[in-house]
Amino acid sequence: MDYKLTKEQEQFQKEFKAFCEAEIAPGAAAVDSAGDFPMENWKKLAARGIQGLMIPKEYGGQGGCLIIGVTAIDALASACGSTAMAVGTSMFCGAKAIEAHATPVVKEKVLKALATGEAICAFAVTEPGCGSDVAAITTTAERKGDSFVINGTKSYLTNAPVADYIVVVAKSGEVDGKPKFSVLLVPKGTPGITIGESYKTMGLRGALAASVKFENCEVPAENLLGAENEGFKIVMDSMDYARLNVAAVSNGISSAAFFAAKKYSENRVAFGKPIALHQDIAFRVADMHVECDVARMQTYQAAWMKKEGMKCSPTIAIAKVAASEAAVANAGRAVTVFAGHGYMQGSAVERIFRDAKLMEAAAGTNDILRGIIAADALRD
Amino acid sequence: MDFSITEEQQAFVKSVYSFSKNELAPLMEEYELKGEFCWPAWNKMAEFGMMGLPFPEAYGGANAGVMTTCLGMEALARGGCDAGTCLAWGAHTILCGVPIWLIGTEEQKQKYLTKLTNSEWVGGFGLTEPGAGSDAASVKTTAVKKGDKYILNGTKMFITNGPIGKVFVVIAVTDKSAGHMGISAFLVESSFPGFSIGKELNKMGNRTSTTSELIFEDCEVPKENLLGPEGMGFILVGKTILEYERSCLLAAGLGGMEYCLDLSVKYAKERAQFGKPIAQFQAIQRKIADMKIGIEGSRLALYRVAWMKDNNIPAMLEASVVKLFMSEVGLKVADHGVQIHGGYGYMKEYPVERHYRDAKLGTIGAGTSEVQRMIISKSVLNPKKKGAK
Repeated sequence: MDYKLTKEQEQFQKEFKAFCEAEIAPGAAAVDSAGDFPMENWKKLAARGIQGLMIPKEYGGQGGCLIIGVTAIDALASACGSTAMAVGTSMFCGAKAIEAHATPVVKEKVLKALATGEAICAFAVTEPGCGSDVAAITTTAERKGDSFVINGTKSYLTNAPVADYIVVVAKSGEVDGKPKFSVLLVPKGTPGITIGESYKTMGLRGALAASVKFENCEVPAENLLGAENEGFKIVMDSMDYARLNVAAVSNGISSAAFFAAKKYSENRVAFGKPIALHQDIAFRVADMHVECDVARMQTYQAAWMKKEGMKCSPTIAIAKVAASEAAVANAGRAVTVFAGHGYMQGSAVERIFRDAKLMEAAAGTNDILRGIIAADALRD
Repeated sequence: MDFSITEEQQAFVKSVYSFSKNELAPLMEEYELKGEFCWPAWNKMAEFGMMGLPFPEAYGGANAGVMTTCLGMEALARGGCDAGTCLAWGAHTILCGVPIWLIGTEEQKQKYLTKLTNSEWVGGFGLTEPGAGSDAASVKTTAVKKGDKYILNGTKMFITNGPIGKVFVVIAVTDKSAGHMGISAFLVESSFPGFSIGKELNKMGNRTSTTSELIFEDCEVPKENLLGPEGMGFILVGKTILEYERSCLLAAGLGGMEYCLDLSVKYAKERAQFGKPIAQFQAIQRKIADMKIGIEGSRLALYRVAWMKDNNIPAMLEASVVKLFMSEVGLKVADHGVQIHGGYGYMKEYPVERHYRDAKLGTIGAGTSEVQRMIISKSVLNPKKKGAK
């Protein structure tokens, strides 16, 4: 048992936090109001090798484990939720699936580009008519000789407007009346892809999302991840990573809310003393610390289990629910501590409040995840 | 990072769990209804080796470490040993035993700690007074040195194991002018002249643990029973037991929640309504998921403190975090447990009814949730002296 990060991990965390505070946080409000992909942040992070943090060294990455990945996204999200969501999606949802399931030739090309930050990745499961209910996917991938032809529409794809690669989950067959799925890597510019306009979102406005339409979009069979018709397992595996990413972003948002409330309450004076000395405020901030602290431990435990190859989908679901609900609660508490100031556009906590809300819905709604957690608890 | 426990610990958990389930759980209902200390369970626990878990072998203990002690108490409670009996263990082993072990002289350890580990005597701890709870520094019980004795006067309140204890760690003021530095600790035997107990208190829950006042009327305590240096007792005892209390003692709270969840899962699968087990309804699943989420968070927060203690890392903030988090979650878990059981959950023959009453002590005992929030907020906030603009 060991509840601490290693010395090297701690050192990384310390330096990267300082970097995020100095280089990313000051621009977070601008990223939000511009509603544009934070390319400048992306490049700064690429210069530090962040996008390649978890990619194996042989493909140009740093070969770090999930613990370090979660640590990085957490720190990044406390500086800028949008940037963290965009970077994390590429690192956790796209790159991980490619690393585990792509052919060596594809890895050589794609993983290397992802590791340096030259390429951005998106992951396409959700459709207009189905989200968590993966079995209801209607997008099809039809085998045609040495290639697959994709038809259908995917929606709410984080990074789609800027992605160089989209990992697409599509129905490729049916066995005994049950749908079978295949996962395909689709490069930008493949004929037949139409990227929709970026959605106007409540929060995380820099983590651009769009719908993507595939019309007779043909990709070579070597772009298949894993085996044909065996994609469901890859989707489930990717969901674990996606949820770890959301948990990490949530923890960063939670921390940002906590530190904003801490700083404000230490300085804001009412009735002759800092409001941090009024019990209602002090205790609220104490609760923020507790929820943030526990959710972060849950996230680390889940990441550790995934890293160790243990059965961990229910534990990851627990971490994601706990972390996202702590983020929403803490963002709300921070606005309450700021009172009127917190309601103003341009205040840090107003943006955090909007950013936090997506965490409960992303990568499987918390309702769906509670179903997974309960099913596990109810299993004989 | 590594969140695993050793194979040896896993085996220990398994053996304590089945011991508790087979030997202790069947005894609980009867004693709980009567509100009586369960001597049969206590004696079996002693025989099993629970009393001296954390202490060195030289004093009859198992030298188990904090983490293993936590795992043992968690398993004991999960197996069905009730909260009251676990609380009695806590007062005995942790609140009385740990200060003797860590502060006591060799003679005191030989004389008292061995009697606690072999369960010849029951131990307890006297800090709280009618007028001093979480604000422990306002203790009024006095100890005046007279020759080779200290003369104690005052009353201690809500003392677990009061009616059955043979030795108590008692906190009393030796120098009022010195504030915190004038409060000492004593080992007081129930046979000392001037010691008596008030009437046994009738509680909402934890009813198998006995509770009373301790009354000191010119109670004569030999000077060699001073625990730690004069004037330092309060601070030293506080330092030594707080983190133990908020790990080893809380572990039974975690096990209790798991017991409640286990019962609820079983019931939800067996109970059918509208043509299917209620476990298949989303509303019931949601409750079970929420119980599980809270339990897992509590487990991590608890094990972290135990791990820190075992590695000599100060854990005051983390100890308050787990105390607050776990006890608040505990109320929700208990509520869900009763709700899942419906009308049956309101009946005394279902253990979730007992668990519901037992859980409430969590947010009160050993520092209320409000006191934990005071500790946490003081630790994480640093208000500007005058406040900036």
